[in-house]
Amino acid sequence: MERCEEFEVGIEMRLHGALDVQHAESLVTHLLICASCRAFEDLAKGSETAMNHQSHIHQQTLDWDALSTRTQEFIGTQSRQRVIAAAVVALAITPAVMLSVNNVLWSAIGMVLLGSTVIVVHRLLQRRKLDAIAKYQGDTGELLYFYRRELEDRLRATRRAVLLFPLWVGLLAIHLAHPYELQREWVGFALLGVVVAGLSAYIWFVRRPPIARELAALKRELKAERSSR
Amino acid sequence: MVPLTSENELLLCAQARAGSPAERQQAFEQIFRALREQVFALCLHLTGSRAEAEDAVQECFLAVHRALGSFRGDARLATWVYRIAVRAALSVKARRRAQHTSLDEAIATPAPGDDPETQAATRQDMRRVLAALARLPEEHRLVLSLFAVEGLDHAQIAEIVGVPPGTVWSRLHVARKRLGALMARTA
Repeated sequence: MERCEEFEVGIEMRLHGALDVQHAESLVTHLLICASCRAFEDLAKGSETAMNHQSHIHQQTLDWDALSTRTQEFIGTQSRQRVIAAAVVALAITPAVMLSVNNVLWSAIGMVLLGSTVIVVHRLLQRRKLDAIAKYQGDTGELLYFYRRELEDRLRATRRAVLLFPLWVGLLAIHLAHPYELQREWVGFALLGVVVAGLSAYIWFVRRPPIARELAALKRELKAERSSR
Repeated sequence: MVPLTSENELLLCAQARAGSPAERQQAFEQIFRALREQVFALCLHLTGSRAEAEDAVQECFLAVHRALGSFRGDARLATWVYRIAVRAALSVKARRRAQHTSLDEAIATPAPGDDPETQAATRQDMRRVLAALARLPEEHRLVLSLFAVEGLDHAQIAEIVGVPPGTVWSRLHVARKRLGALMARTA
């Protein structure tokens, strides 16, 4: 260590117990003659003490049991919501598919296969995202950019809700190409259409706007941050 | 409270992956108790608000509960939880960006045992540090907040931030300098 800048890094290392004895000795000698480095040491110690003091005092008055209970309640609510959502979708789709396909056995097998595929794909995507977060190694190290990318991904995913309509139209076209006589097939397709429309409306009008707003606000902040640098 | 060592971390992860529901719940509660204070401190410094920090702690542990079964132990469990905490704090902060957080709300009342003069000085110091911290860019605030969390070493911090271990010291130095400059401007 020769320059003040290097000694200042040494001050940080000593403050966090990572400076070896030899460097610590030369730092002590330097601090005796350098007022600027002493001021930096005061700043480092003072700011860290203030931050620690603040969090310690808040922690003393924090009701950990209430926070724990609230977290457990949220976990319970989320689990219940997932089960309810799955049951609602299954209840809505099952009669529709069974009415729109002649063979009940094949439609049941199709439902099971479709459901399993959706669950597997969803879990794979979730795992990939978790892995990406866990192994995040940004080029710039700026977590906000990572967060923005994640928001953009989520926004893109909601846009795919539009694809449900062509899918339904496609199914309808296939159905029209095969002139079945059964009236119940029409009821099935109508039910499927209602489910698709409901799902799409929920994704488009409920899930999408807050993500879009969050992303826009984040972009504004990043822009402001860049211009302030 | 049992501290998280690398040995009991492995045991907790195994419990969370393959244990019965009761064992999984027990593993989660142990992780919550072991890390809640550090996670709260980190979230408090990142968000600058107690209410937002509480929300971020809750969001963080919800995510931990959801993903604990798929945690493969590539990194230390604590490091993984802190990463989730950083993300939760940023997310909560982004959602509430429009709402103004008063600095007085963020500044804790000093301990009752101190004399009024010390209390006033402590409040003044905290006010200056927090005001400057709130104006720092996100990445600088992150590195300062992580170093202020007890029990985190520089290698873990480097892993959380996503930089080589050697770089984390220069990052801390730059962040501290900038904090000092902002504090001087505030004074």
